[in-house]
Amino acid sequence: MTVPRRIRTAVLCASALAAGLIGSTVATAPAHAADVTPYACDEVGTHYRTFNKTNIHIPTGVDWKSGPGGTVTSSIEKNQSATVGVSIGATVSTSAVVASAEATFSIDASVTSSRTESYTYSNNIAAGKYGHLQFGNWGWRMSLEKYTYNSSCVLTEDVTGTVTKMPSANSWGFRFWETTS
Amino acid sequence: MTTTDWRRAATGALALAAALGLAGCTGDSGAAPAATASPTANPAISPELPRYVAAADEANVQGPATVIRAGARPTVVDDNGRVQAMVMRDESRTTFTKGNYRLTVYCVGTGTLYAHFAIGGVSKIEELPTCDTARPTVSSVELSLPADAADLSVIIMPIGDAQAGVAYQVQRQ
Repeated sequence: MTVPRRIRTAVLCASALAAGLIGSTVATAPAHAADVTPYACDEVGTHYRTFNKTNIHIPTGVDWKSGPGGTVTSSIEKNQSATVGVSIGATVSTSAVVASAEATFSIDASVTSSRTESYTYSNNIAAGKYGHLQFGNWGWRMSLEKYTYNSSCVLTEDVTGTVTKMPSANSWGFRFWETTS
Repeated sequence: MTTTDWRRAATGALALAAALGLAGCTGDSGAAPAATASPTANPAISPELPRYVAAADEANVQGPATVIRAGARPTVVDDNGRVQAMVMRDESRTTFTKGNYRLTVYCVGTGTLYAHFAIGGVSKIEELPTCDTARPTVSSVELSLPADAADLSVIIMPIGDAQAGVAYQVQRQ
């Protein structure tokens, strides 16, 4: 887990600083002071952690509605596209966020996923109900943490937010649902 | 096709297992198929693919028992010059009355598909017969609902470098 690692790293950094060793947290232990390597913190820089993933349908096309009862049918729609959406109080690199999610969850995600066209689809509607059809990408929603360590191994930024939508690179299709009006 | 392309294709194959998690399949054929996508020396999309799609669509004739009809789509697309395998997935959020349901898949082209068919807590995953370039390969997956159930999902995933047009319909028997 990231947090324990960060805690451990911070403790190691603090210990090294307190001991005056100024040693690397990742280098092998030096035998003599002269062998001490320059200070290095293995978490320097900005990092993204993704967690709490849920599956979602990201609608990209028309909400085809019909009823009450009968059948709702879609026509082919051109140039469908879904793009990552993030809600967080900081600037983020969407490509880095996608890379983090792919590594964490073993998913095939994309910053932007596109289809040149959809396809026809029809679905029966229950009596008295209205049917809806919408084309889209089967992607994900997840929590996001952005954190940054400076060159002194001090945590300078730690913000949490939400990836409101992250499209799949290869999974598209229709979602059908019914309403009473 | 680059290593990255094939990584994506293979990951696409693995996506079925991930997609099944969302579908919540807890039914009688629960084991997800092993991902078998593997690199081969076939980097280009077949110029015949549009014909495959048209032929699969034409074969998918709606009948009186048809509840859902999905028009044909290709198993691969051109993603900025790269071949991208595509997972087909559709979901219906409604109630299905108890009875027997059949997923019928029409495939024209090359390669093989996995089909996952789920209604409520009942699901099946099957490897379908190899697609044919000359005529539609028609295959079925059947489910029996012992009671009314909510939510239907269909996921069709190409195996390896399958290049085909695929259409399907769901019928209530």
